[in-house]
Amino acid sequence: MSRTSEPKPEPTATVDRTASQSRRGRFPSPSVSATIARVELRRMFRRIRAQDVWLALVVLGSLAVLAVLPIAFDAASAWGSAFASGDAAPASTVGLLVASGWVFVLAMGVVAGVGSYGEIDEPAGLLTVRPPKDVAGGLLLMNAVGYVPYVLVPFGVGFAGLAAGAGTPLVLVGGAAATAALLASAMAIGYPAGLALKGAVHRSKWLSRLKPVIGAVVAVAYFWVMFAGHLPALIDALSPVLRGPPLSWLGDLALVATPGAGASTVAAAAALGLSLAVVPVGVLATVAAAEFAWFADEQRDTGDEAEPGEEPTAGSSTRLTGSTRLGDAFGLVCRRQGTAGVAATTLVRAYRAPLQLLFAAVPLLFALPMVEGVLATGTVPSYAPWFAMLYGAWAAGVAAPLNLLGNQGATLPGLLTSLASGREVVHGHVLAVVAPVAPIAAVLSGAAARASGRSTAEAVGFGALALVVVGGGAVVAAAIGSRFPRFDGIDVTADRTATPPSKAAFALYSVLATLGVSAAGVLTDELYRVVIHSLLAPRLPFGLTLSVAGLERVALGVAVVLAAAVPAAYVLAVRRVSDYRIE
Amino acid sequence: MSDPAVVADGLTKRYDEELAVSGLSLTIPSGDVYGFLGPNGAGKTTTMRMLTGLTRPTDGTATIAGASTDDRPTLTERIGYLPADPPVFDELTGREHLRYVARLHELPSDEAGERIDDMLARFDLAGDADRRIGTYSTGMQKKVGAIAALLGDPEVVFLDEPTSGLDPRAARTMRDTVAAVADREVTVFLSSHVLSVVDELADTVGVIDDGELVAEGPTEELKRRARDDGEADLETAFLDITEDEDVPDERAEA
Repeated sequence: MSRTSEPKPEPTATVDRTASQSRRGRFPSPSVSATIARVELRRMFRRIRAQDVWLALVVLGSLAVLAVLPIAFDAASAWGSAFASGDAAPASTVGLLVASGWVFVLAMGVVAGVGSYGEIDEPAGLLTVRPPKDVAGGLLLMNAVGYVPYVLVPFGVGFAGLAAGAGTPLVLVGGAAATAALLASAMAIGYPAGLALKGAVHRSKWLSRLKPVIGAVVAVAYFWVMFAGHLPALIDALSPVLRGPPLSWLGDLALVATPGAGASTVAAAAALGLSLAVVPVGVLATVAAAEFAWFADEQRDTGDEAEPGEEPTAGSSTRLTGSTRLGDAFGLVCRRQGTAGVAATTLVRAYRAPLQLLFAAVPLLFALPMVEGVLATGTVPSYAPWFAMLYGAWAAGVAAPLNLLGNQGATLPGLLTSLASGREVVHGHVLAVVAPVAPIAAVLSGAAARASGRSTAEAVGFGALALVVVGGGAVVAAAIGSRFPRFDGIDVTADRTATPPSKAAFALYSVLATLGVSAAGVLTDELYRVVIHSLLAPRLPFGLTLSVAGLERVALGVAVVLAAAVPAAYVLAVRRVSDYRIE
Repeated sequence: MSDPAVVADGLTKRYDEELAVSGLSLTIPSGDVYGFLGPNGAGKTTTMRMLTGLTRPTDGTATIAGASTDDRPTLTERIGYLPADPPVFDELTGREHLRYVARLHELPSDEAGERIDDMLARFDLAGDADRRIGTYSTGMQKKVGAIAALLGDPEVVFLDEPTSGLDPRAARTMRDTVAAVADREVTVFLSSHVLSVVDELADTVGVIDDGELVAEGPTEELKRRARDDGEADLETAFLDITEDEDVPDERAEA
């Protein structure tokens, strides 16, 4: 031993010393929790700012909200004028909106708690420095502050409109009090509820296994409500709760300072008092729920304890050979083991990390109204088989080939220096998506064709065409993806990242897939031809005209070019992957 | 005689049917450097997570610097922990991260600034302190993690593979820092696969295998236990102790 051999000073006894005041007690230290909240918000802001996809979504979302705000202001202003003239009728609508806002924040709080915003990014760093109560307090505060814009902007504009209509700024006092009360009380209830749910999921093997399914059901239900226009129906269903106390008291609080609104002062005081009482209880519940969630031994399907920094040894050997049952199955239909290995590995990764497929699922949201229409009317629209085909081709491309280099992550050097040739890599990626997607697209397209009134022969033709389009699309996607790779991941949740295809690849492939399916539709489907013609003909620039026959000729040209592009794309993809050098 | 810094009594951790750590008991005097060795998956990290209060033991108790591992308010005031993957935030700069940790420790701003500047200079990070950690190499992140673990002036510091990913110069700095920390009467619980580091720094070595503490004693004594007739070293001793068929049941007495 080479350390200094000087005698060590006598150490001081360490027992019977208690922690500093700020670490003691059941409530979080306000200053430490505020520090944690501030740093977490800063990290979130920097993460979003550094990721173009999220930045674009934030900008688009902000623009959409800005477009609606003037309408909200005008409506609120009209209600304010009504109050000023002694008509208190809009009060119930204002109360309903405030109560709906409370339910929205409550739901978001639950989602935040049960999701990644209820996790600590670096528990070994934070929980060995501060007791969990301070960390829990920090995360609760961070989530509450994070939802301030979502509440402040709409309600701020709404109450400003009310104030303008009523002709008194006093409206803003009640509005500000109600906004603060709804945010604080809803988050104080929703966030610990979400954390408790997370703890229950962590502790239950059954719930842990069902987690992806539950998440998918909740996500589909959310988008179903939002995209299929069911929000008013949902609010109607919740109306008895929203219009009754204690939620209705929030409306009274919002309008307590608005002359002519007829708000009850007692109810307003009750709303304020209840919120003030709920917050400390919610903070204590958050601390308890956080300990319940964070110190649970997560239920695991596999029993191996991998220590940090240690890599499983089995994966590396199967990386290229894909020595799994799936790899063996692919090996039966592939001449080269490299192709089978790449295909099997691509599919296994997609299965085990399905987040990567999120980007391919986005267009399904737009299909929700169509599905709902089918369920409601019992009739399948004539465009349904084309939609199934287009989506199949698009999803197959986006799922893997459209970023076949970027998806490799840290294993790209291993792949490029492996025995697998560029041809095998391209074949493997195309096979990985065509094998599962093409049959589904063919069945869906054919079934939709039959259900929409087309003959059996036509339905079979749709199915066959779907197989060709999905296969060709995957090859084109591989070429585009190898030319425009993207290596930067984006945070899909706070602790999970995924690497989407590049914007150029997304745009180019989407355009080509749409063109290809549209050309096929124009050439083979009378109804589709008429619809496309009626859409295009009136919108042509420079006085151009287009007959239906002319449209067919254009479609034929597009189809020929795209058909010729498939082998060209194949050659391009293989060369690009074979010659790819890491910069 | 002073109270021991680390006392573990029958620490056991079970995940369903899997026994990760079984009845681990150890006592580490204050100011000692305790080298904690074991093969991959032996239970080293699980043990450290139990001793730092991050994981609740299924059975057994532990006391760190007089604080029970259940008493997190007191425990967090007395320990520092550098896991194998340093717990640093990519979105912050090195200096911001350390300032953050200092605030969590409620260190006075001036004192924290001086201490951070001093540690950054010692670890040759001063020039990169205002860059985002996300742009750092693994070694630089490890250095930031090490500084953060020591920033709160802990009485016991747990270091899991502190020199992995470091270049030779940085590894030397880390070893010197650990030695200097130990000379300040801080107890160091050091887990490492780099046996030369443990050999150089540790007063006592414990070896865990399959979740059980299979050997413990002063470094020199463990070396002498090696079956080689030639010059004994820690590597030979480690290989002997953790050999599959011949796991010794008795600990070497100090």
